[in-house]
Amino acid sequence: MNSGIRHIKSIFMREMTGYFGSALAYVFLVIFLVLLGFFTFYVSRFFENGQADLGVFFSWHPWLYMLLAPAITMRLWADERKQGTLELLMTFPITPFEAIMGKFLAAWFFVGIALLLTFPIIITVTYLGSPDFGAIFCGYAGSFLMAGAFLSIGIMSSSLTRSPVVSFLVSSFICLFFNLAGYPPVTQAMKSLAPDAMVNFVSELSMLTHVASISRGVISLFDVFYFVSVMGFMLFINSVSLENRQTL
Amino acid sequence: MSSKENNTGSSHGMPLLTGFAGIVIVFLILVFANVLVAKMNLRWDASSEKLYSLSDATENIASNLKNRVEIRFFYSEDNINIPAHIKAYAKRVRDFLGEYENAGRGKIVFESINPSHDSDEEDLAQKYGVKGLNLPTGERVYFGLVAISSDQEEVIPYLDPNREAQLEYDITRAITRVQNPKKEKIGIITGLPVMGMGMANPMQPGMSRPWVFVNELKKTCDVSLIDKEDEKIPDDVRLLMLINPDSVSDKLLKAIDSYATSGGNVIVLADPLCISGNANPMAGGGGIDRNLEKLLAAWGVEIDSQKIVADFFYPTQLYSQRNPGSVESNPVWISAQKDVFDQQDTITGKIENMLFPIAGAVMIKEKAGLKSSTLVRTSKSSALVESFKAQLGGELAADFKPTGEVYNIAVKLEGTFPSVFSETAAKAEDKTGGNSPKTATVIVVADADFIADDYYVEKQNFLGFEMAQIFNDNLNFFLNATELLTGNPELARIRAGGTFSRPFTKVRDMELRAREKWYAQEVVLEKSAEETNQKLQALNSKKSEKQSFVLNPEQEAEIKKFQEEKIRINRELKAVRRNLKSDIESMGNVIKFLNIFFMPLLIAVAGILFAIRRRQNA
Repeated sequence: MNSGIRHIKSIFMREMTGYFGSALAYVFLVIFLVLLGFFTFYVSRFFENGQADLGVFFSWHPWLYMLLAPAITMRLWADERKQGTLELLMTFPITPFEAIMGKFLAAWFFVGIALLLTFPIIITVTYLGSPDFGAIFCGYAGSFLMAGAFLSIGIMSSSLTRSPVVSFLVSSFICLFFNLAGYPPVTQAMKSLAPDAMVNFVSELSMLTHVASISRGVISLFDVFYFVSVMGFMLFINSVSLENRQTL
Repeated sequence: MSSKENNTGSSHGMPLLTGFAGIVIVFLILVFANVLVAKMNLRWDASSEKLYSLSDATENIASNLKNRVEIRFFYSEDNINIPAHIKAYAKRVRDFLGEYENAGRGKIVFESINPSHDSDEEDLAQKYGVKGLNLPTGERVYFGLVAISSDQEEVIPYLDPNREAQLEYDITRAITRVQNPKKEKIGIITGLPVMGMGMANPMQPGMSRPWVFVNELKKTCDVSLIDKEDEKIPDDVRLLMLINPDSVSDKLLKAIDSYATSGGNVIVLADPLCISGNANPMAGGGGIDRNLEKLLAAWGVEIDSQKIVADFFYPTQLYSQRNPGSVESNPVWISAQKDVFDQQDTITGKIENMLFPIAGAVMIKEKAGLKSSTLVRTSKSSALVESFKAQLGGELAADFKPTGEVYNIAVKLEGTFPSVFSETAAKAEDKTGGNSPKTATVIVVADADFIADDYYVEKQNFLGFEMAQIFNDNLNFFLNATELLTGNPELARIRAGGTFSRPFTKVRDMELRAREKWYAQEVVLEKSAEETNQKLQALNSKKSEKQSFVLNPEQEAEIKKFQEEKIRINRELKAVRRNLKSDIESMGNVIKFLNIFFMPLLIAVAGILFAIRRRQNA
């Protein structure tokens, strides 16, 4: 067990140096923070609204993750394949599971750092009024879980292909689907193709409703379990595709 | 972990097939697990208002129920066209009802029923009065509940997402009502058409319906109007409401008086300037009825009929009457906030904000046997002004000099109420009537407009249902007072502050300070602008009278002078108005910059430094 954790940790550190050693981390963080700030203050007019409530801030996270999570994860496996380092990696005494976890946790931790760096808005809202800190904490918790779910989709998609671009397109599409699952465009489209029970089931998959529940200030076991299920499922597909990489 | 074998990878199709099958199996397991967890209903409520847990009052009521209560929850959950926000709300309601079941310890049983089209369940829903909602697609969906105990039923025909804040109250009230169906009787004496006028008046659409607060009261109480000609208050009246009554006859005064002295509770709304319910709103109220003043005086209460209160710290933004089209801060329309409500009292403990459209001040003189407490007061930046000055609106700020005096808008009196008539007569009645003096509670509010529909509720028509969106706590205040005085105070404790508003207090303080600094100046400038305009118009009209009128140089110079004056004043006015907003805007800009660019800049700098260092090392 211990060696497993050590392996994961080494992959983790390898990835982190990869992020921060290149322009990738910095560019991503700058874009993420600027976009989030722009949407919150100029599109949602946070300051003009006059409410010490970060609801509008959190409502942008699913849409930003939908684009940026695929961007971070698209290179995770595809690069290794392209550069031929994947086989090399697999000769080391680590299991596919450990490799996946190492990469996934690194990506998730990185997004966690990005979330932490949004702390100026917490200071702002505390300075301007008296916000509900329980709800803010829950908002961040929900966002972090959702980020994990989107990243797991991205990393799974990356393991299916040699091309980062294909990975990006596929995972953004899937993430978009998860965002829109409960809403009329998707339900209407599905109505003619699938039985009602299936349509209802699909609308339950929506990330937005689960995140909305959490950002109201209530953490329900069901919502947490949903996100963990999505992550687990995607990472499982990831491991299957790794094991079958010769045939793919 | 046999990594060696897996790493070489095999080219058989088998691993792929088992892999694929594995995926499907895992998927099914996860779905099944999710369904199970969904049923479990475990939650951690971290919100500061504890929006999603039952309050102590409900827990008390639930665990002390005498009879078993069954809650039937009707929700057409299979319908895929239900709007997403209603689906989400339905889930919250279901979870919430689960909490009731837990708190009830077996006495509360909750059943979910799914009425699909033309089913037995749909008939059941109709039978209980759960109204269906017609979707734009033409389908009918049900989203309501009914509480049943022995042979009593209490229905909530439609669970309005806009009423989510009152959900706990509505459900708990339904439960208590089926346990104790007896409706307390409320008598109303009023000069306002609160019960709706008999004949629909085409000039005043909507006036023929009872006011919203009456409909709310009718849900728990038996509400009836006591006519001005009546000479007696019916014995079974538990709570008497005097809502700006006009022409109270002497006989009626006597009836009210004996009601109060024998322990009857009263809510009095006595408004020096009432603007609701009149055919001509400009006529204003006629002040307070003489006999009502006498009654209040006997209790040590005085409301000056000629004076209204202006609160400069809690004004309301209204369209200005003097400057049509522009908005001003009107201090006689008081938007009272949390600080001025009595936090300890059940009635006002959870009230967050209320709107009082032109109120008076309640002065209290101590009377033996009576204890008074203030429920709502003004801020320290207030003044008592003559009623006719109400129309000045925002201009009152120009003359305002703060004295630090605070005025009462609503008070509560408890104890034994003395009679209006001679002391000896009252004492004689006491001796023959009962053994111990009866105590009563009276609430006096120096405003009646605050419970008129326009000042606390916005009505909308949604898919054939009339939805009421409440935007302040006026109704909550009134209903809390009613519940307290009809003997059901626990329900008042449940009611959450209805608006959940968290304003930017910093910005509000800045607005106030800016107002103090510039407003007086703006008013003065506006006055001189108007005067200059009038002078110009007078001069110009003289010119047009006689077509052949030729101006001599002096008159031309005078017109020019006034025109220049007008331009100068307008420019100064613009500058002052800009100043009112400028501090706040510049703070806004700083905040926006800090939030959007500060961290990214730091990161970019860090990245560049790091890159430089790496290049140096290489």
